[in-house]
Amino acid sequence: MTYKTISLAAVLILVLAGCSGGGGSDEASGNVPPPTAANPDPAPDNAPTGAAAITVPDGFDFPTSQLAYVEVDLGRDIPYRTYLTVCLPALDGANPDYSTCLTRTPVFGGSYMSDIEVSNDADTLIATLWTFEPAEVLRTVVWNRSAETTAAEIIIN
Amino acid sequence: MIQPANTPPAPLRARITAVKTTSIMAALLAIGAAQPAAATPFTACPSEAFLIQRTVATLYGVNLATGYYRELSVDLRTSDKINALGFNFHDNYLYGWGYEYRSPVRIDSNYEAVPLDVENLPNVDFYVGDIAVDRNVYYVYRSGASYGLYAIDLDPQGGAPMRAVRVVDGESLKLSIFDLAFHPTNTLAYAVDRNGTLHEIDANAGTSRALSNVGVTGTFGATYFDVDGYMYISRNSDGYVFRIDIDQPSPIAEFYAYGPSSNNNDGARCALAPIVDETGAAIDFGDAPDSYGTSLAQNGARHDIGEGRIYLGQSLDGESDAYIYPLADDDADRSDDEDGIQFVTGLELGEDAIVIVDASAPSYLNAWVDWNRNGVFDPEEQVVAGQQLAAGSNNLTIRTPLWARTGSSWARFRLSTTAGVGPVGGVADGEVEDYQVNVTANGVTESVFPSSSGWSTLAYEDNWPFQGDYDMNDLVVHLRTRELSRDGSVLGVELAGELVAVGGVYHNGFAVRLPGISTSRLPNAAIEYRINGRLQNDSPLESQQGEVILVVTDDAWTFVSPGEGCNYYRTEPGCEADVQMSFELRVSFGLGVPADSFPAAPYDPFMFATPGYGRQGFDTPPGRSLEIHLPGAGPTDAFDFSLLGKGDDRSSHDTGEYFRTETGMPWALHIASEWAYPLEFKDITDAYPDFASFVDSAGETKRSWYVLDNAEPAFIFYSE
Repeated sequence: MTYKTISLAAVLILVLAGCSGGGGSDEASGNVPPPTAANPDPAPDNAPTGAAAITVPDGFDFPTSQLAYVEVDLGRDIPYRTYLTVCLPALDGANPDYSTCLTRTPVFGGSYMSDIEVSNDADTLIATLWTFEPAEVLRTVVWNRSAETTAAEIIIN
Repeated sequence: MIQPANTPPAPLRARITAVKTTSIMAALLAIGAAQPAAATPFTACPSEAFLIQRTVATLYGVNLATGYYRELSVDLRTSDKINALGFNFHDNYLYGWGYEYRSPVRIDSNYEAVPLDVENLPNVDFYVGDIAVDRNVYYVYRSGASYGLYAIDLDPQGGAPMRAVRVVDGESLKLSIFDLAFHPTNTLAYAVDRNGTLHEIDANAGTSRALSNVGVTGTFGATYFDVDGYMYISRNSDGYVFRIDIDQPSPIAEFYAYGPSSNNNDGARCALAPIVDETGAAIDFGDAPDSYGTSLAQNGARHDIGEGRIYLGQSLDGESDAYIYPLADDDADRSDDEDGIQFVTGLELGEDAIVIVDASAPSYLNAWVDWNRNGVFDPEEQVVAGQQLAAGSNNLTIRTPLWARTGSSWARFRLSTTAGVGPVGGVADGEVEDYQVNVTANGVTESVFPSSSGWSTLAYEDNWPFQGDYDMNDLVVHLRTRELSRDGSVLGVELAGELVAVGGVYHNGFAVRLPGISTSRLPNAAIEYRINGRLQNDSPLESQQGEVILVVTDDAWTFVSPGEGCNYYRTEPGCEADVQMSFELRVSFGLGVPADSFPAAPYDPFMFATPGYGRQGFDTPPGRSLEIHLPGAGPTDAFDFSLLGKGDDRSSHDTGEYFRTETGMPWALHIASEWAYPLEFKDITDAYPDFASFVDSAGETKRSWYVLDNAEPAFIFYSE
């Protein structure tokens, strides 16, 4: 890829163009004609407002989810296959809604661990461990988000 | 003016063409159109209403009595919209305004739109029009002094060319309407405007009078009459059909049926036909593709609802005929009665799977899964045979055979008091529910973000490198990712998404990169790509790239368009409508990718400038070389790095922070949820007052700033 050298004159034009677009006005966006109300007396302290006025802390990437650690440890080597689901709750709050799962996985030897990404507005997760013969729930763990929780952990044992 | 570096040649990938399909229907239509062009009129004055929708014109047939609608054609041989639809009782053709040609078009029973040569029309598009019943004249209307009501004689004397005559200008006759329709007998036309005022229009004289306010408001993009003189209006935002008895002293609109919603609507009907109410909607159908036997014509699985005692899940509703995938009866009637079956586990080859079945009363269940994905429920694919269920929750085990094919398929569940029920045919009671399922290899872990029925939202300001108005809706995409892995290796990913809003005039493409994943990981034919449920021929994989980059579209405007009376797609008040484009990408890796080198969801979704379209601040269109990524993500190799630092951009190679302003604000946000984005021109801090605190605290507080409860209702775009 080649980069075109920008002349000094062009740089000055760029700087001017950048300044005139400041303040988050519609003219800078170029999407629609600017609002009709003209400002007859542009104040020198044309301070930005709204989102343009926010200063973002260094390295902040606006995360809206976090990692949760999920573990199954039945404490003894289970010879049969079990199955883990981690889902959002159904309307009754007590059972999982299996159409809203974050992870579904077979578990071998009664042992499993993983990280899953959980949205910030998921306040409750229900983890269930199923057996196949008979087809029934072996364990259920309910995780509720609390203000103090910094790390999310769901452990079935 | 920004001088972009010599733009590298656009990656050579086959272009994805809009909505062209390889379905059998399209092939048949193509064959029909290839024959010598003797156009065939419709055979009689049909009872069905015609409805035309979408950016690339799609024709539906609507039964106004039940609201039931079916797709007649996705290929009218035009690349743009058709509006101002009218059914011509004199010659039994449909007429409309073709935007591709900026002229009237005639549509025959092969659904082929042919442009007509008409003199003396202004250089503008029309979306209001109809054909008179008492004379063979096509009327089109547009408000404004330079336009107005035009009459086009479709059958001029002596073979003279067709010519438009302006009856009255659009200032003297000034109506804010989106369709009109002629009454079957009284020679007048009628329309309901945005405020609900019913207008009676004398097209001959070019005058109108207001009759009443019918009591509903909105954009009524499709208007019809029946032979009894009842008027029907269809509202764009929700598809509701209202009926108006215009003979009443003060006509009002009564709710009549649920129809299809679209921000581009136009309807036509032979006004002299009666409305036919067929079955009265006391039958439940499935919605799997019709190869499985779903519609009435295919003797599809159907259950007479009867007293409604036997059903799956919490509810049951009927329809007069099946809605075939990608349509679904739950979308049409806004009631989710597909709720009786829960798949606890995945369907893994050679393993048992657990399914929870919720039955309303003691009854029998029969079920099938199309294991070999041949589009038919074969006898050996029956997984439940006349099993007795108790009222309430029943845990069942289903075994996936080793000979099943992995991938997406369909399952059918039928509940009734009859024990022996096959995959098709009518049954006296109960319910059928069809589900899309996924069959995987043995031992596969499925990991979905944000959840198997949730959406992540990607919101972009597209004016980079200049700051915009921070309404974060220039491009809005819903995304869900599903990873399949086994033994610490990622075997494949699925990306599902929908194009939710375009709140700007720029043309932008959308793609998802899998950072660090080389294209050498993909064997041939490793990608399945669907748009609106239809398999696409062209590969979305960007060529000449080392990493896997999947281009969903080069240009969002190919698939969506602003609503009638709107400037943008789903960002302005009153411009609600169903989402116009959904997509699915399924990618299989040959030998699997080690999980710890696999990127985290939602991977790297980014937008880019559509090649060939200008942007403010650029001498020449920057095209593919201009990209906008989420905070924390950097540009791809196709990006023009000389653009960094221009305008308001303060990207830094050193810190690895790209697409940020001086104060660190990004041009894109990812919200791990379905997000009600701000209305057009509304700043995100006004729509979501907690946003600023969230940022200031570096995410320590107000982590749920984006949930609906924390929004200012007056500033967000909200659509069901």
